[in-house]
This record gives sequence, structure tokens and C-alpha cells, in this order.
Amino acid sequence: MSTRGFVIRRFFHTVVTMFLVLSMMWALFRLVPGDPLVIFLGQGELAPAELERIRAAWGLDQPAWMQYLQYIYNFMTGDLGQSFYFRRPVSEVLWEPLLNTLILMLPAVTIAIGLGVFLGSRLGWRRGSRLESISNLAILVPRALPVFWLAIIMLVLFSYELGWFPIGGMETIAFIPQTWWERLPGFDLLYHLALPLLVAVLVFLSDPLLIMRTSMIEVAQDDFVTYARARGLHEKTVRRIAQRNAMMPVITYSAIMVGFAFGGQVLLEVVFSWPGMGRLMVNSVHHRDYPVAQAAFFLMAGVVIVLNFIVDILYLYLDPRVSYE
Amino acid sequence: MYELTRRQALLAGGAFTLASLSLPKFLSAQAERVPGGPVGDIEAIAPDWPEMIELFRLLIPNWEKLGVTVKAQHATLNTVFALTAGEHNAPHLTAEGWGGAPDRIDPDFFMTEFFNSRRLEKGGLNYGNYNSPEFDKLNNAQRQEMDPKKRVELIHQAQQLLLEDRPGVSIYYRDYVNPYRKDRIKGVVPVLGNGVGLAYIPWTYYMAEPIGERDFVRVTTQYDIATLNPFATGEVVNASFLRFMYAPLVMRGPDLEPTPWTAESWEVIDSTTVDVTLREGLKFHDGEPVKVEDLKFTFDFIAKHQFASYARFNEHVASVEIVGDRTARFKLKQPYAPFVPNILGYAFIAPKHIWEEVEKDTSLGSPADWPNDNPVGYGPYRYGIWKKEEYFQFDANPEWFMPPNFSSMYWLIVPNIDSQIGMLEAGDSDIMAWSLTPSQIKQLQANPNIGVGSAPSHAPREIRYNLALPPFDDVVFRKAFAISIDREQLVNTLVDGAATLGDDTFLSTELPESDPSLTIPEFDIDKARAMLEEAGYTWDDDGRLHYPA
Repeated sequence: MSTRGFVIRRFFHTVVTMFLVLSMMWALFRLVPGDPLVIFLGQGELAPAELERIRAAWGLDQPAWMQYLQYIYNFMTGDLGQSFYFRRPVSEVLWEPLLNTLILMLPAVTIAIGLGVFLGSRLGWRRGSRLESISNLAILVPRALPVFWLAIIMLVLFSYELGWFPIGGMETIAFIPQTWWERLPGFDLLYHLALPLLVAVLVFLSDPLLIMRTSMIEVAQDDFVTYARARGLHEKTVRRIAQRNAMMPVITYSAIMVGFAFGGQVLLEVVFSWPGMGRLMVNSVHHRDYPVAQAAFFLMAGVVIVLNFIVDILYLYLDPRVSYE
Repeated sequence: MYELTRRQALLAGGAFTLASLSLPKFLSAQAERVPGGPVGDIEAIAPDWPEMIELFRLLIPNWEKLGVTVKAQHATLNTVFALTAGEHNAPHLTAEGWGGAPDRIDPDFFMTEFFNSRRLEKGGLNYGNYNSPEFDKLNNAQRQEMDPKKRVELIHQAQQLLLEDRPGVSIYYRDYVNPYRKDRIKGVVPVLGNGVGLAYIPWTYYMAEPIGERDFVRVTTQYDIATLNPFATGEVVNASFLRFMYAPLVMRGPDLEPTPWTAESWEVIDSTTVDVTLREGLKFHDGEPVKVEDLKFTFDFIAKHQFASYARFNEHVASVEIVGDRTARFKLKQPYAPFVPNILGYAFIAPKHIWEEVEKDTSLGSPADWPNDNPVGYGPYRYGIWKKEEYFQFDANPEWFMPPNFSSMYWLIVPNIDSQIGMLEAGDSDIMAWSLTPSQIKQLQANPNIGVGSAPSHAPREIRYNLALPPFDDVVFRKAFAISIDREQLVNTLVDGAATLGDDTFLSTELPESDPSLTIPEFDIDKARAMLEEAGYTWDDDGRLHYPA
């Protein structure tokens, strides 16, 4: 199969996967019991005639298959629909939390991957050393801790006890800068970002780090490493050569990490009162706000799928040994 | 990589399916009454709040002493609500905790919504299937009786009937306890069902004063609002925030008496006619004068568009006519005793010059779908900014007849209660619009700068029996079940005594309309067993309860 053939086939797979995700989500949200209308209107007197009118406006009076077709059609034409709960277009509901989530998650993921590659390659290179066994343990601790627990402990330590960081939110209410550094643009945001970012990095760090380490250990036994050593290259240079080769699995994994970053981290967002996608998704499921929930989950899944597609193609350039011929 | 994605998608799908399967499913539909046969397991559903989980943990052992096993399931409030009110698919027992919205202060709310047979349809709150023509008659009579004294008589009779039929138990009414910074604000106002910090009847935000240089107030709350459109507010909490800007005509005072707010006065002409006079010099936040035409327009608008959230208005108001410069005449379709608190108390004025234009926008399914991103009200606070899931800010309106003492209100959305407490302690917020547990209060009281304000509530923690499912079709069983509840123990254990005990009439003894001669049902398991025995119930060798042969 030619490279071009592969790309086309792979693209086709991507589209089919997206379609499956879309369909599965539609079905799953409708499995959850609860009439969105009753939940939306809450507790009180309801007029049956008006209920029917809203049900029709939301398309909930149609048979399920019609609702499904309409949903697929709307998605394909870029119409994400109207949020039941917020009563405004889904795209309007999504972008603000999405931006907030990316402000937190993109730096977190970038730092975690960068640091993971950096530390992982060194740890893998020094396999069996005392440093490695201690570090392995140290890395596994934050990974093993429940996210909300870690976040609360950090909050108690750095915010309640030491008072270094704010307790939550994205900005200080009625903020009046007192010192020159507080006047710097973006200071208040960074000040609020620091702690959740630290926790997010701690949580995300272990996966790329451990993948990198394992990959490094494997690569270290490859012939080309032995050959590089035999050539008398400096140990640092040998590691660098090995590192480049060991990075492939991390790149693959990064695509997934970035994708999930779009979905935010609901537990972090709750503990740090961060107004992001995770909270939006949980709330929209609670409210049975199908259009928002579907769009948010699809966004997350869609990014994972698209990035995977891109990574598969990138492989051709990153690793000349890979060929789809 | 393709495989990994697919696997993940499948895993996620599997997890979801499992989660949806683990949602409550009840066997009770199959439970039958066999003469002499065993009373099967009793199924209960309740919200997944710690208080409710603990409640059942305390209740179940006492019911066990009657020889019946109660199995409780907990789910999110919305799921419980969907199964009960939405689907009318309630198990034997449904426990709920209600919020203290102002319209629930009038006895009509709980009596009609919970027990009138009109509310038996899906969406109605009578999911316990109580259906008594005698009660309906009394209930309909009390809501149409415009003479307060005669009305109270009828309410007392209805209460008596509920005690005789015992369609459920109102166990207790939990106090609202809100902490605030004593060094930042003074003069908080406790109101029934509202504590000192909620937005239902928010006298604190109208009357309290800031201390120190910073003259704003920062409130932490758990949930954000969904909309700024006053015609779209289905949720009671959301609506109460918009009332800061779209002030109601009448508001209950701290003593619960309806007091003039946007209206200067009202006069009951006859049982279906009420004249309402607006205050002089009212202005919309965009500078336009508020006219009586705007008031008429708002009611016509509601009648025309049949907004779901204002079903009550359409049920009772026939027309609004202008009879003076500032006076409008409300004609009712039938006499409605709670008209002043529950209709004038919710009625607001929408600026005609804005909503007329909205109506012309054909891209909207209904004017309720308009985002109203820059709400123009006229009330004590003006719209400032809304950062979704982060905070919203309202600023004082100096032109209001009673301008608030705070320059601005910031409502911060903080989903985690411990973070709310931490912010209050650190001085990052001034008051918490969330009711605390006794242990949280103790933790906070160590701080000399933190005060605690509280008020009783009229909104019950209650359990409704499903009268369609045996053994709850038997009034003797229902009564025996009710006196096996140790209310005092529950209140002392769950909320450190900070609650009003309930007498199973679903009206708090705090309400002036409630019959003062009623007493709290005494906890007496021996008596409960004696009642069951007298009715023919028996116990087998294992101590399990059996139906009368």
C-alpha cells in the first residue's frame, strides 16, 4: 500500500470512529433516566400544554430515530444545537469554559510531557541505580493518590497554612494591586493558576515519565546504542541518540493526553473553583442538558481522534524506519 | 494507535453503561399483598447527601424492630426527582429535602403540590399517590378563601385530615445556618427558610452594612445561574437572583408579612379584584421611567407566551388593566388566597421598549430563549458582569427608594464547601450562602472574626409513602411506621438540634397558619407493634411481619 493510500484509509478510519463516538454518545445520554424538561423546570407547578410546547421546541417529541438523524445531520452541518439548560447556542456555552480549561491544561500537559521526557530518559538510562529506585517511588506517589485528595492537601498546605496562594477561582475579586509586580499584566491570573497547575503537572507527570523510562530501557539495549558507544562517543551524546529513538511512544501518548486535556479535570476544577470544561460536562449530565454534554464529550473525543490521525502521519517523518509502503 | 482509541472509547462506553444500569431500579412494582404472607422488603430512595444517608442509617434499625427491612438507595437529587416527580415511578418510600423558596411559605404550596389529586399527573409532586376527594375539597376551599380567619380554619381541618390519612411524614425542618465575617459586615437579617445569606428573601443584602474601606460584599455559593432572562427562570434559585434587578411588586418582610416593594400599595377590592399602585419615580436601569403600561405589558406578555415558569400566573390572573397613572387592576380567574405573596411576590416588570423588540426576533422559538445578556431591570441592584461558573456581580442602584448599603455584590461560584469555608476564614469572602453542618460551625466559631446567623425553615425533610404499593396502602401501617421514627434522636444526631420537629402535616409549626394544638408524634415502637397486632398483622418465628390473614 502506498503512503497516500495509507493516509486515505487512515482518514476514512478517523471519520468512521468519529461517527461511532457520536452515535454512542447519543445512545448513552438517552439511557440515563430523567426527563430533561422536568429537571429543567424543577420543582413547582407545571402547565402540561406548555410542557408539550417546549418538548416540541427541543425536538424531544419526535421518535428516537428522528431525533438521532436530526442530531447527526446537525452535527455534520456544524450546528451544535441549543442548550436546554442555558437556553442559548451550545457553541456559546462551550467556548468560555474551554478557554479556561486550556489556560490550565495546555501548560500542565506541556510541562508534564517535557519534564517527563527529560527525567524519564535520565532515569531509564541509569537503570538499577539507587537514584532510579527512589525516583520511581517518588513519581508513583502522586500518581497513586486520588487527585482531589492531593489537590486538597496542597490547598491546605500552600493556601490555608502558608497563605502563599489563593484558595480558588481565576481572579481576585475587586483586585487592587499593591506592589509593582502585582501591577504586571496577567499577574493575578498567574497567581491563581500556580497551584492548580502544580497539582495538574504532578498528576500528569508520571505517565509520560514512566513511558519514556521504559522505552529508554528498551532502546538502551538496541544495537545502534552499542554501536554508538563502540564509536567512542561521549556518554551524553549516546543518551541523546537513544532518547530521540525512545520518544516515539511518548509522542503517541501525548496525542491522547492533549485530547483529554480538552475535557478538563473535573476534580481539580471543583477543588480549585476553576470554571472549566470538567465542571460543565458534569453539570450538563446532571441537568440532562444533552446538547451541551454531547458537544463537550465529542470535542474531547474528536481531539483525541484527530491528534491520533496526525501522529500516525507524523511517524513517517519522525521515524524514517516507519513506512507504509 | 487506532486500536488504543477504540479500546478507550469502548471502555468509556462500558463504564457509562454500567453506571446507567446501576441507577435505581425498583422491584416494588411486583410487590403484592398476600393475606397472611410476609411483608416484603421496603424500598426507599433518597438524595445522596450525607445528611440523607445518615438519616436512613438511623431510621432503618427502628423500622427493623417492626419486623420489616428497609433498603435505601441514594442517587443525585436530579435522578431522584426524575424518577419520582418526572416518571411517577416512586418506590415505597421517597425521602426529600426541600429548599425554602418564598412561595413555599404559604401553606398552599406543600398542601396542593404534595397532596392534591390534580398533582398526580407526571411532573406533579404528588408522586406518593395520595388521592382523597375530602382533602381536595378542603384544600381547594382554603386556597379560594380570601378571609384569613376562615382560611386558617380550613387549613387546620386539612392538617387534621393529613394526620388521619398519614400519606407521609414530615420529619423535621432544618435551620439555615450561614457564617459571615463580623469584621466586614454588620446587621445581617435572618429570615425563615433563608438563613441570613440566601437570595430567596435577601434582606441581608438590602439592609446589612459593610465595615471598613471595602464597601462591597462577596458571597460564596455552590451553583451558578443558568440564565439572565427573567421569563426563562425555571429554577427557583436562579429566579431569586434575577429579583435583585427585576424587583417583585411585593416582598415578604423579615417578619414574613408581605410588604410593599416595587408596589407602593395594593388594595383588595373583592375576592377576584386587586388594585396595585406602583411607587412614584421608578426608573429602569437604562434611564427610562417605569410605567404602569410596562406592568400590564409584562402580564400580557406572560399570558401570550405561556412561559412555563409562570404557569401559576396564567392559572390565576385573568387580566391586568390600567386604572390610574400608577395603578393597575388585577382580575383573577378565581379567588386565590396566596395571591399577594405568591403572585405579587413574584411579579416583576419587564421594560416594554426592550421586550417588544425581542418579540419581533423571529429566530427565537420563544422570548424565553433570548439571552438577555445585558438585563435592564429597575430594582435595588443593577447588572454588572457574569463570568460563567466563576462569579457574577450586581451593583447598587442609588435610585431605588431604599438603596442597598453595599456598593456591589459579588456572588462567587465555589463548588467545594471546604473551599468556601477556607475563603471565609482567609477573608476572601464575606458571607456563605450555604447552610453548614454542626461540625463545620464548631470549626469556624474558633475564629473571632466569624459570626453565625441562622433562621428556622418551613421546607421539610420528609418521606412520602407510595400509597399505591402495599403495605403503604394500609393507613394503620403508615401510622405505625411514622411513630417508629425517633425525631428527637434524628435532629440531635444529624443537625445538633438545629431544626424544628415536624408533626407530619407538612406545615412547620413556625408558620402562623399551622394549628398550634398539634403535637409532635411520639416515638413509641411498642405502640406501633400493638397497632399492627390489633389490625391483624402477625410475626413469624424469625420476627418478620406478615399481613393480616
